[in-house]
Amino acid sequence: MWRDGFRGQNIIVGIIDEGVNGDEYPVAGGFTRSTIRLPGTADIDSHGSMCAADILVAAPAAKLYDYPFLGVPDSGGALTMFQEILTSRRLDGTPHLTNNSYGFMARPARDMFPNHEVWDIDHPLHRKVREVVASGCPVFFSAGNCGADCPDGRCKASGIGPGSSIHASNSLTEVITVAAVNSRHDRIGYSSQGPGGFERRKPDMAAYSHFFGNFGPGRPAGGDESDFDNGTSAACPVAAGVGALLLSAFSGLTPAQLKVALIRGAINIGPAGWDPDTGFGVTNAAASYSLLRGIPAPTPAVDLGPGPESSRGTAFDQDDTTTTAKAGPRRPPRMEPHPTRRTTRRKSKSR
Amino acid sequence: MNWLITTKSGLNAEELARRLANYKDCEVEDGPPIPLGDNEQVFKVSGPRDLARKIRRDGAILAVHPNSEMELY
Repeated sequence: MWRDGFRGQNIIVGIIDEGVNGDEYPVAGGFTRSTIRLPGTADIDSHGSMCAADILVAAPAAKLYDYPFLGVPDSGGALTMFQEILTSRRLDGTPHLTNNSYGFMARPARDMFPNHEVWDIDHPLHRKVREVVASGCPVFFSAGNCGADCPDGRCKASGIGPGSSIHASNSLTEVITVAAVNSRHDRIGYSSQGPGGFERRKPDMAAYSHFFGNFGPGRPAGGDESDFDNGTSAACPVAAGVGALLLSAFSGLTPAQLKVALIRGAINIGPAGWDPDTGFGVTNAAASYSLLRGIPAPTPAVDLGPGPESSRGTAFDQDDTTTTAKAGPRRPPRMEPHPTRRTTRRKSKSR
Repeated sequence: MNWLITTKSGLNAEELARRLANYKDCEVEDGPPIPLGDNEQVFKVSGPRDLARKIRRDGAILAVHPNSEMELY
């Protein structure tokens, strides 16, 4: 896609997170009504800065909107930021997609908390996420870090393992849920496992984690070889960056079309079709691009195969990527130069 | 505990606060409500842990949900 001139230019990715460092990463706007934190003012070693770096892996010419949690991440804060995104989109159509690398690590007792985010699909946050997707904005969510093999130390027993670790907004049918694999295409042991709490066929796909992006030798946040971008927090923006890349070539893609293109181009690494560990496979930008252009993909076709029944249907009923391919890609504008990165090493902080 | 209270559009924070006055330690957060759907809105409220169970849905107050803390993955 880069050879064809598409590098995510003209695409803005909204990051709902801890905040992004705008000195290093191309923050072009976001939530500006706060007196606590303005867009682009986070430290370079913030979680949001890691997400920024990882979006730019695939889409180095994309711009970013910074939507920081103003304090402890909670569903009310996310609700505020999703509304901000909706308001912005109604004005000028930006941001074009969003990245969300957060969620819950436990499930409260359902009989005691029946309308908790994990259990109630009509919780205001989930309704707002669906509004954002309905506005035409793809929403990427991390699967979570509570996989059975190596759960994050913050995970509670109630939220660990198959069927228990992908929930709340991260498991909505409408969003794109991303698990984590390493460069050998092994699922990383902490990556949360489906079925999802709402949509059972979750995760949708996997993307790479454990690499030198924002963290590591010579990286903007510095550190040595023991520091690296990690978690499904890193995998999700890698996939979102691929989404930005595809949107820079096919600007008319709906969220459902983008999702299908990503899934159909994925490299299937588990059982044929969907599996609860890696979804439909590892994100493959080249294959998804080829499919959208209507030419044979360079990797074997994905067998969508049978999977567990969805609680509310799936996005695969909307398979109209061929319509998009016939329209052809946008004429690539003049390429922008690679963003430069500082190489000053800083002392890494634990995350 | 933090809550998200969904009301019909048009209800202002002062009116909501009046409706919550009978419940101990309820406080409506400053700032405009967040619109939801075509004719609803959401207020952030702090209140007792049993607020969802006790509060009366009266046509103006439509739903009470927890505003739960999350983790960065």
